[in-house]
Amino acid sequence: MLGDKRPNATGPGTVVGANVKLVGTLQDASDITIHGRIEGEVISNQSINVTETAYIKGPISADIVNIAGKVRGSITATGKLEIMPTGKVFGSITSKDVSIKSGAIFVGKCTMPEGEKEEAEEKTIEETPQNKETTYEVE
Amino acid sequence: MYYYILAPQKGKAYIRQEKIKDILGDLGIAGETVSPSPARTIEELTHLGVIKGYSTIVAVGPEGLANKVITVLASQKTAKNVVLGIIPDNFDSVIAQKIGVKDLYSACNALKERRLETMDICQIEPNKFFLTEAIVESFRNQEVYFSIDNLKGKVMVNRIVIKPGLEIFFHDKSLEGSTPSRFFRWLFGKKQVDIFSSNFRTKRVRLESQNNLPVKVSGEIVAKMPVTINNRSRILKIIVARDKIKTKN
Repeated sequence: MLGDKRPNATGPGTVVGANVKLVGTLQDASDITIHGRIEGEVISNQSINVTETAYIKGPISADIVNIAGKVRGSITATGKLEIMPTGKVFGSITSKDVSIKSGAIFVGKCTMPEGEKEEAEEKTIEETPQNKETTYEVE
Repeated sequence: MYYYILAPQKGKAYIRQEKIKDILGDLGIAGETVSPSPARTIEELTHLGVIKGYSTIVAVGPEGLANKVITVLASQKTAKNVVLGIIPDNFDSVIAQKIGVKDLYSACNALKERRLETMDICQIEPNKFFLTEAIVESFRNQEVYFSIDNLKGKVMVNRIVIKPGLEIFFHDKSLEGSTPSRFFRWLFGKKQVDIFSSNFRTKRVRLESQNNLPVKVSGEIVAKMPVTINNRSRILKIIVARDKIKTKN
């Protein structure tokens, strides 16, 4: 629901059709599926699915983000971020679980905030305590 | 006390109305029955029912009648505590599904059992309300501009459906492909993902188009674009069937 910040929203969520052009902030508590074109921020408490026909110019923030279309802007996924073979991302991505499929285009900085994984790794590999983030750059 | 507004009927439908009156009498919930005429519109009769102090106003007939009664109940402060009952004439209709009635007997029984549910309704500014759905349709697809909260959009559509809650569906049928291509897809069992439909939920939407497309509720034109539609959350008390499956609205 746009502008609705209820955490446990149900229903099909927001769907932006291929023939839609939006300007502004698209915010929904439930899932968002985008087939169309958006210039602005896209925020969801659950998942955002950017399909092959979609183009987004602006930041994306959600729990699970799935990119098969084109995105120009930063992406923050608290859960999982997946860039499909048809996906094109130009901007920084932040997620603790990133998957970039073969064929995908990614130009930007990837930040993976470490949580439990780091703690597990710390037991085996000695690390300096200041390095709490791993940064990858692919261009 | 119950106040029944019956749609004027002739022939078979008249017999049906007599049957309804009999059932209501048997259930012990008979009340004053009125029908609209050229002298008294549905809105005037509803207003009269409110003034007379009836606690329950029942719309007996098509969706259009119920929506007109709702318009009066929602726009009058004095009608705040008045409960709406509905006996639809089509039990496959959206309104029948909303209140969870399957036939005449269940609709009349629901009135007797009087289980209340507060529902969302939509307001087409300035003063039209509806419980079912509003439809904007055109033969050829049109460019429609819409604004939702801090979001502005443009869409090519030939059908827009607005439902209480405020759910908005945009659909452009022309982009689905030609009839032969759809036939071949059907023939070879190829399923095409519908990427041309849009679905939004909000509290307020403004719709504009170059042509003043009509907004229809229950087949009747109630407004023309540009229109602003609001969701009025939980303002209408409606009698629903006891065994109705609880929905969001």
